[in-house]
Order: sequence, then C-alpha cells, then structure tokens
Amino acid sequence: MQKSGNISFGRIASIIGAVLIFVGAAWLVADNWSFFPKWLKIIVLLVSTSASYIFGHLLKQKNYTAAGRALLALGSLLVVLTLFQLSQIFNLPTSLSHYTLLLLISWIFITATAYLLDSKESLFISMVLFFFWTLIGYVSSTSEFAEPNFFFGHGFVAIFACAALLFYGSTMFHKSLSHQFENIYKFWGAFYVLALFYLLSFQIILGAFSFADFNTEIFTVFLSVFIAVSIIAFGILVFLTSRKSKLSKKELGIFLGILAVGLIFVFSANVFPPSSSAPGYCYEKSCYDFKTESECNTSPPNANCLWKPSLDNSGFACEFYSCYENSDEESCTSAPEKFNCVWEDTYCTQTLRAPADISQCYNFESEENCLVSDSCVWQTSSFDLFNLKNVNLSFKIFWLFSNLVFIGLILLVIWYGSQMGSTKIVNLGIGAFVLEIATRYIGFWIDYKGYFAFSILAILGGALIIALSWLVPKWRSRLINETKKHAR
Amino acid sequence: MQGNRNLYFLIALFLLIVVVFILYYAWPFITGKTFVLATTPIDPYDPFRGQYLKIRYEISSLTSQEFSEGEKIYVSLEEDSQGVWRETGVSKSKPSGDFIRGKVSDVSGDRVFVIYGLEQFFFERGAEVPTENITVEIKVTSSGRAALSQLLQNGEQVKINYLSEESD
Repeated sequence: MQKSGNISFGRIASIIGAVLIFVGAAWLVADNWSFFPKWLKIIVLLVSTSASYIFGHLLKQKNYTAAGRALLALGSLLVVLTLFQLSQIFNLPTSLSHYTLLLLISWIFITATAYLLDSKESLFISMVLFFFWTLIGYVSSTSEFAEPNFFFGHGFVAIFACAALLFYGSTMFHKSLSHQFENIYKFWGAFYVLALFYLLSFQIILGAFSFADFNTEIFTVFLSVFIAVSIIAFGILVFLTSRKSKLSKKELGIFLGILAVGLIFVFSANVFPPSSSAPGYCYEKSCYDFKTESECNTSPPNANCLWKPSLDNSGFACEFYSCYENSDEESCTSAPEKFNCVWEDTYCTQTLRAPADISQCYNFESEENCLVSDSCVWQTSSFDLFNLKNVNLSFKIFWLFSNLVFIGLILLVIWYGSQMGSTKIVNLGIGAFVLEIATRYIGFWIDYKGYFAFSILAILGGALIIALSWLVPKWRSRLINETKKHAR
Repeated sequence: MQGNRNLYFLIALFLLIVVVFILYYAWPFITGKTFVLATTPIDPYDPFRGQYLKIRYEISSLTSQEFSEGEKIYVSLEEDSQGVWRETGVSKSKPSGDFIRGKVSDVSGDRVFVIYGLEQFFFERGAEVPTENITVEIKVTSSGRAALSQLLQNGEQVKINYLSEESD
C-alpha cells in the first residue's frame, strides 16, 4: 500500500479508518437492500462500480499499485454483479441461455477493461467467466434436443481442447510482444490441458465414452462457432507470432501432440468397453418413466399420473396427480375418472384403492426378467457399471494408462513452469497432482465397500496424508525456489 | 493522457451497456398496454439470483396443431367481466386487436406450451409471498413483447412481507 518503503502510523490509521467506513456503509446498504427502490439499487451499483474503476486507476497512477489493482478487480466483479442484479430487477428468465448472455457481456467488457486499464486481475476474472460461459453456453445450446441422459463428454472435451488452443496461441503472441499478460494466458492454457486429461482420468467418464456413440448432434451452433473461432484465432496468433520470428516450433509441436493424445484417448475408448453386461436394478415405474402422452395416459391407475405442464415450466411431462390440487368442488368432480377424486365437505380427496404389489419389481435381478412386467423398469447403474470391481482387465489397464499419462502431464507442466520461471504454473501442477491423488482415493472408497476395504483404505489414506503433508510442501518450496532462480 | 482516456471510455461503455439493458427491458413499461393474466404460481429458489416465484399462466398451455418447438406464437387476448385477459386464438403472424408474443417450448399432440419471458418474479431474501388467487399485471408493447409489472392478489397489488421487517 505504500509508495516508497516507509509507512507512517498516520497513514496506517487513515487506511484502517477508510476500510471501517467502507465496511460500515456496505453493511448498512446490505441490511436495507430489500427496502431500496429499484432506481436506487441501480444507482448504488453504477456509482460503486464506476468509483472502483476511477479510484483504482488513480491509485495505480500514483504508484499505490496494490490498492489500485485490488480496486480495479473489485470494479470488474461489480460489473458482473450489476448485470445479474439488473436481470433480477427486470424479472428476466432464469434459463441457462440468459446466464450465457450475461456471462458473455461480462466477459467481453472485463477483458476490454484488463487491456485498457492494464489490469491483470481483471483478465484473470474474465478467464474465470470465460470458463463458466463456455460450459453453461454449451449445456444451454443442447437443451432443445437433449434427453435427460445426454452425454456432454465429447462437447466438453472439444471445449477444453479449443480453449487450450486459444490460450496457448495467446501466450505465444503476448510473449512475442513481451506483454505482461503472457503468464496469465500460459496459466489458463495449462489449466485447460490439465482439465482435459483430468476428465479422462475418471473411469466413469472413460467408460461413458466407450458406450456413447459419437454423433453430430453434439455440434450445436454454440459449439460449432466456438470451435471454428478458436481454430481460426489460433491460426492467426501462430501466424502473427511467426512473423516476429519468435515461434518455438518444438514447443508448438509438443503442445499439439499432447492435445492429440487426449483426442486419441477419447476416440479409442470404445475399443475397451468396461464390461459386457450392464449391472443395474429393477424398480416400479414412476410417472417420470412414462415419456409420451399416450404412455402416461395408459399408465396403471395406482401410479396417479397425468400428462400436464411440467413443474419446471419447460413444457409437458407425465407428473404425479393429487386430488388435493382441486380447491373447489367443481374442479374436484370434473377431475379425470381414473383418479377417483371425491369432494369431502371442504377438500378434495381420493377414494382408497387396493394397494399395488410394488415389491415384485425389486425381486427381479436381471434386465430380461424385469422387462417382462409392464409396470417395472430396468435402470442401469453407472456406478456399478464402471466400478473397478466389475470392469474387465483391458478397461482397467486403459484407465490406469490414462492416469499415468495424466501424472506424466502434471510433471511436464511443473517442469515447464519451472523452466519458464512461472510459480503460478508450478502451483497449478502441484494442485493438479494433489487433486489427482484425492480423486483416486475417493474413487477407491466408492468402488471398494465393506469393512476390510474401509480399514485398509483408512490406514492407507492416513499414511498418504502424513507423507503428502511432509513431502508436498518441501517439494513445492524447492520447486518454487528453482523457478524463481530461472525467472531471474 | 492515454490511461485517463481509456478510463473515460470504459466508464462510458459500462454506462452505455447498462442504459441499453435497462431501456430494452423497460420498453414495455414505457410504451406498453396493461393486461392482467390468470396464473398458477409455484415457489422455487434460484441459486444465482435468490428467491423468486415461478409463474405458469393460463395461456402457457394452449391448443393448436400448427406449431413446432421454437416457433414464435401470437396469442390474441380479450378481457373478461372480471378484468382478466383470456386467450381467444393463436396465430403465426401478428393478429389484429390485443395480443401477446411468445415462443413455443414444447408440443404434445394438439397442445403447445408457450413461454413469454414472464415466468419468474424475484424478491429479496426472506420474503413471505402469498401464492393463492394470484393474477399478474403485465405490460405489452405493440410488437407483443411483454414485461411483468406486478403481482396481484384478488385484484390488489400483493403486499410482500420481509422477515427482517417483522423482527425489527
């Protein structure tokens, strides 16, 4: 917070005073927010956002760099808040497509802020928004045709790979300009590559890739435009970098090779199916299992199903019908006959029927026997299907190999970070390593149930935590020191 | 100074975005005609934006075989003796008389489910909102775009109680 090196008591006291006034004012505003008229809410947001940018910029100009940077970051966060608050004030839709629009506007504006006001923190915030924008945008673009079990895996892989391309290209370009944003793009490029391989380190996702047919339906307008723009932008950025004769072809080749390995994993997954038969369980159909109007209307009377507008306001669905929904005698007596609704003085109720034998479905242990009965449905259990205890050997080896590749990639990222003098990338690699260990450990807990597995995993987990808590900080501090040496 | 010019440009751009946003969504309030619609409200919670009322209208589910998912639909409206506006017909192009524009989100046999962008009404945290005998006052522009104006209970504006109000 200081300009040169010395900081006086008076200055510290004035900063504490200013912070206290700000906290007090913010508390007052927050406590009374619901009583503010709409126009006052908008003014509060506009003034606080503009003030954050103005004071942040002024403080940076006067060499109060840390405080200035913090205020610029605050301004960028307030931009996001303003847009979300405005959509609340105008009661705008809660749909994913609306959130996609809000995130897109925020991302573009905050990226512009980062460049125009030279704010690294704003660029970081815009990168976080970009991450959510791509994922939410893609999911929202599939909503018109996606069935409840639609597999998003191929789309997410495409998004991670294209975002990695885009940010690696940006890294090279900013490096050729000796621009300070190079390191942020480098961090996010590494993040997307790690995210891609982290996704492939789950046996449930690898298994899903082996079952899910790759079809052109995944290429929604959003995804197609995103892929096209990313590839074109990458090409332009590589071209511009090569014109400055600062393109490392070897590094570029390794990067593209890593992405190719990820794609090979995805497309070779169906060579290693996890098992020949799908484990699952048999249960009595509920209303949601009747997918069409005719199925719903002919459902067993005991299921009490009615085809009507769905609770989430997205369309029609087969939903549970209760006679209590009818608040007057007229609607009660005109309810469909199969529900047996009767008016009892002040409320609508259902006359009792003989209970259905719902236990029979749970007794069927195979899909074949289950589907003999019209009232039963077979549910494949993903957790059982991809459980390490149930999958065959070739799939286990495939999954193990993908994890070894992920760990190899983590080590490569850590090495790259230390060579480039980037402590952030080294920390990202170490974080990914700890995440990999924790994820696999939790995975074993889920897969291997029972007291014996519990005790073995608890002992192993305890030993692992002790070892990691001792080794990781040492490893990290040695790497960070080496990285700082390289940076010098 | 270049830095200051950038700052002024950004602030102006931010204000422009907010003004365009407000003008676009406030346009029905400025130019629109008032209608009252019958509803079936339910009460969910949005993780991003807090407490709100999800509203289904009488005109959310309509009978027609001409439409497919994603299509624009114009719904003609006529006021009944209680001041509530009811559907009198649907069409693919602007009808004469009073109407509202929506988008078909689902088709099932001869029924279509329509969304109008009026399906949610937000409150601050801790609101106690009645959900019975609710109608909704809306404003509709000449193009049919609608905005939610206020909730009515038995024809009167809904009074929202906040829990903090009671505790004070």
